Amino acid sequence: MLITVTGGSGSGKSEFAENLLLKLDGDEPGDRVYVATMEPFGEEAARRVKRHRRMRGGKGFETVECYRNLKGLSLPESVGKRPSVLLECMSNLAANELYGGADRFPDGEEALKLAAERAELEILSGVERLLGQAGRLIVVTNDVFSDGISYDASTERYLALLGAVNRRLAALSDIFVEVVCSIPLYLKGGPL
Amino acid sequence: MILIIGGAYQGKGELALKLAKEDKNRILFNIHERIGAGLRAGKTREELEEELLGAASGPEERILTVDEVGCGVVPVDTDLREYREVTGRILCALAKEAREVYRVVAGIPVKMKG
Repeated sequence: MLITVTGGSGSGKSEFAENLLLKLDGDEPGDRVYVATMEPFGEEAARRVKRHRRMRGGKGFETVECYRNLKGLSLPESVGKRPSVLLECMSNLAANELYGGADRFPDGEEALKLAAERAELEILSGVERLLGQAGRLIVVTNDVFSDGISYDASTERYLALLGAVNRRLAALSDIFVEVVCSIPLYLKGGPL
Repeated sequence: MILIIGGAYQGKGELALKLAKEDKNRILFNIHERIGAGLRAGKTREELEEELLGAASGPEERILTVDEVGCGVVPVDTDLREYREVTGRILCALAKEAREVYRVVAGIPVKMKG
C-alpha cells in the first residue's frame, strides 16, 4: 500500500504521517523504518533533524539515511515480514538527485534538463523498489508551488521535477492526503 | 465558464484538455501570465477583470487555468505585490461567475464549486 502525504511547511504533515503509519500498523509490533533524505548541512539542518528524531522517539522507527540513489537502498532484513516505511521528504530527495551534491551541480540549460530527466527516473524507480520491499509505504512530500514567484531556470527545473514526481506519486498512491494546519484532507482514497 | 486553479506544475492544463475534449480553442491557459503582462502594460485591475470575463464568455463554454500565486511571503517589490493581490481578486471574481471551479493538487482535481 502506498500513501502520499503533502502539505506546506509547518503544516504538521510529518507528525500526521508518523501517527498514520502507527495507526495502520495497529497492534502489530513489526519493524518500522524511517528513510531520511535530508543531508544535514549546517546547524539549522542539524536542529531540524534533532526535532524530527525527538518526535519519532518511542514510535519504534529505525532511521535509515538515503540522500540519493533510492533504488540502491535495501531495507534492513526482518524475520518473515515486510516493514512499514516512512520516507521523508521527497522535496529533499528531488533536490539531492537534481543538484547531485555541491561537486556535481549541473551547469547550463541542457545539463539541467538532462539532470532533471535522470532524477525523475531515479526517484520513481526508487519508490517502486522501496514499495516492493515495504509492507506499507508512506511518502511525505512538500507543497511549494503556490507562491506565484518565477524563479531562475535551475529552481524552476526543480519545481517542475518535484511537481512531476508528486503527480506520479498521486497516480500510484492508494491514498493521497493534503495536510492543512494538521487537518488531513483526503484527496484520493480514504479517509483512514 | 470552468475555472481551474492550483499551484504550478500540478497538472491543471491536462485537466483543462480533458474537460475540453482536447479542443484547445476552448481553453485560456495560464491567465496569471495575462494578468502580469496586463499590469506591466499599465492596465488596471478593473480593466483586466472585464477583459477576462469577456474572454471567458461566448457561445461555447470556456475553461480557464490559473496558478495559485498568493501562498508565499509577501513580496518586497511593489509590482510583485500588486500582481499577487490583483490576481487573487480577479480569481475571486471569476470563481463567482464560474459554473464549476476545480483545484488541482498533484494531478488530482478537487471540485470546489458546481
